[in-house]
Amino acid sequence: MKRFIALLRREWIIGQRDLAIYASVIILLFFGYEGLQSIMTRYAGTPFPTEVYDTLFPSFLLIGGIIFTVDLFARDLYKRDNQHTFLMLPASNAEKFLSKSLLAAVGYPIALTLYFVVSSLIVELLMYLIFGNPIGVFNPLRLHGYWTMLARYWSIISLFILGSTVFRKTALVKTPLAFTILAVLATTIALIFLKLFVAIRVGGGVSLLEALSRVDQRRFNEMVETIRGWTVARDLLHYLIIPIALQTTAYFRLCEVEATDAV
Amino acid sequence: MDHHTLAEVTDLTFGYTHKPLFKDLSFTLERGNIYGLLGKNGAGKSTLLKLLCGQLFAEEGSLSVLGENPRLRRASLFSEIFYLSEEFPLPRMKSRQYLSMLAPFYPRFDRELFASYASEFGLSLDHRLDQMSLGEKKKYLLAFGLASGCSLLIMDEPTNGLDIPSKRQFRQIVASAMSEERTFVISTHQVRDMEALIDPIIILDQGKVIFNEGLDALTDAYVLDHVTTEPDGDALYSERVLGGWMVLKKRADVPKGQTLDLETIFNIIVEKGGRP
Repeated sequence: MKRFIALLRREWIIGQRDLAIYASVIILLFFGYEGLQSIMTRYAGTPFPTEVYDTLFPSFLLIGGIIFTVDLFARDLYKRDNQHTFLMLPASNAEKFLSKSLLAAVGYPIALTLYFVVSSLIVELLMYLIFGNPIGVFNPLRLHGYWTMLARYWSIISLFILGSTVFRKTALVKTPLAFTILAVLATTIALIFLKLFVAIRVGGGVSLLEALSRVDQRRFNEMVETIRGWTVARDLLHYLIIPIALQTTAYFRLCEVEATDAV
Repeated sequence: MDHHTLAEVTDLTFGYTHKPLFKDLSFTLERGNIYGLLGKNGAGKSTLLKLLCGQLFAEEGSLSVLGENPRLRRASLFSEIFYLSEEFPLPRMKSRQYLSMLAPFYPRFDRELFASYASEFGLSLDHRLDQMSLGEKKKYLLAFGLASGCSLLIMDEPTNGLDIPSKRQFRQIVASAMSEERTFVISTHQVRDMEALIDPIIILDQGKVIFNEGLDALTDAYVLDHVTTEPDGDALYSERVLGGWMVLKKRADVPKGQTLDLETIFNIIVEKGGRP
C-alpha cells in the first residue's frame, strides 16, 4: 500500500506543473466567459444567461480526460526522460498500471468535478462582488445525465488507456483512428450478415442497400428493447465487460513494454 | 546459493538480433566487494549489467540476483538494486522534488546520508535536474544510490563526465559507503580512476568471463621488468615503452621489478585469454 501511495505521489509530482496550467485555463475561461456575459447583461440589456459550467463540463471531462490519460501512460512508457526511472522503479507492473489507470479513470473525473465546484464558487463570488450577479455554483448532482456521462467516460477512457500503451507516438490520433477502422470492419461484417439474412428470409437478388432499406431502425430498436435482459446485457457489455477487457489488454501491453521495448 | 553469494550466472546465453554476445556464460558475485567489470568496446559490459538488473532477459541459462530471478522484475528485488546507467535523461524538476518522489520506494533510504553526500559533492537541492551538467547529474544519482540502502549498486562508467576532484571524491565516498552487505559492480574503461578502488575484477572477452578474481595473486606473483633489448618469444608478456620494453616476469626472478598496474593486468589477461 505504501508503494502504491508512493506511485500516486510520483504521478502528482511529475504532472503538477501541467495540471496547474490546465486548472488555470479552466478558471480563466470561466472568469472570461462569465465576465463577458455579465457585461452584456448589464450594458446591452440582454437577459441573464444560464451558467456556463454545465455546458463546459462534458467537454473538459472527455477531451481533458483523454489528453491527461494519454500523457499519463506515454510519458513513462515511451519518453526518454522518465522511461529509465519507471523501468527500475521498485514496484510491480500491476501496481504501476493500477496507479495510472485509477488516476485516469477515477481520479480525474472526481478531481475535475470538485475543481468545477470550487472554481465556479470563486468565479461566482467575484461576479457577485463586481456585478452583483446572482450566485449559481456548479452542482454535478443537478447536471442532467451526470452519472451516465461518468459511465461513458469510463468506457471511452479505457479505450484510450489501451491506445496509449499500444501506440508509441500520437496515441491521441491513432486510437480513434484504429477504433474507427475496427468499427467500419465490424459494420461491414454486420451488413454482409444482414444481406444474407434478408436473402434467406425474403429471397435472393436483394442488394445490400435494398436490404438496409427494408430494416426500419425504430421498429428494430423497439423490437430489440423488448428482448428480456437486453438493456442489462448491453450496459454490462458497454460499461463493464469491454472496459475491463480493454484495460486488461493494456496491462499486458505495459508488461510487454517493460520486458522488451523500454530497454 | 549461500548467504555470501550475491549473484549467480549459469550457462547464460544472450545476443542481439544480428550479434550473438554471450554463450554459456557462468560466474558468481560475492557480497561485500567492489567488482570492476572490464572489457574491450562491444564486449557486452553494459548488456551484462542490464541482464543483472532485469532490463534484458537471457535467452538460455539461469541468472539469480539476491536469490531472485531479475526477469520477474519483482519490487522486492528492485528495491535492493540501484542502477546508474551511462546515459540517463532526467525529468524537468528540482532535485528536491526528485528526491521526495523516489526516496519512498527504497525502504532503507537515509535522507541525512543523502544530504551529507550532496553537500560533499557540492550539489544544491534547489537546482533543476535538466539544467545540471552531466557530472552534476552523475554525482546527484550517485548520492541517491548510496543513500538508498540498496544491497547491489551497479554503475556503468560512473567517472565519465566527472572532473578531477570529483573523481577523488567518488572513490572516497564509495570506499566509505562499503559494507559487508553491500556490493558494487562498476563497469569502466577508466581503469586508472578506479585502480585503488576495484578488487576483484571481472574481465569479459569474446562472450566469456576470462578472469574473475582478486588482484593480489597476480601482483604478488608477477612484476614488470624494464629492459632495453627486445625480449625473445618466450616472454610471458611484453609491451614496447619509451626507451625499451616492459616484460612480465615472475617476482621471484626480479625482486625489484615494477608492480603490475590494472591497465597492464587487463592487457595481459586479454592477450593471454586468461591468467598468465
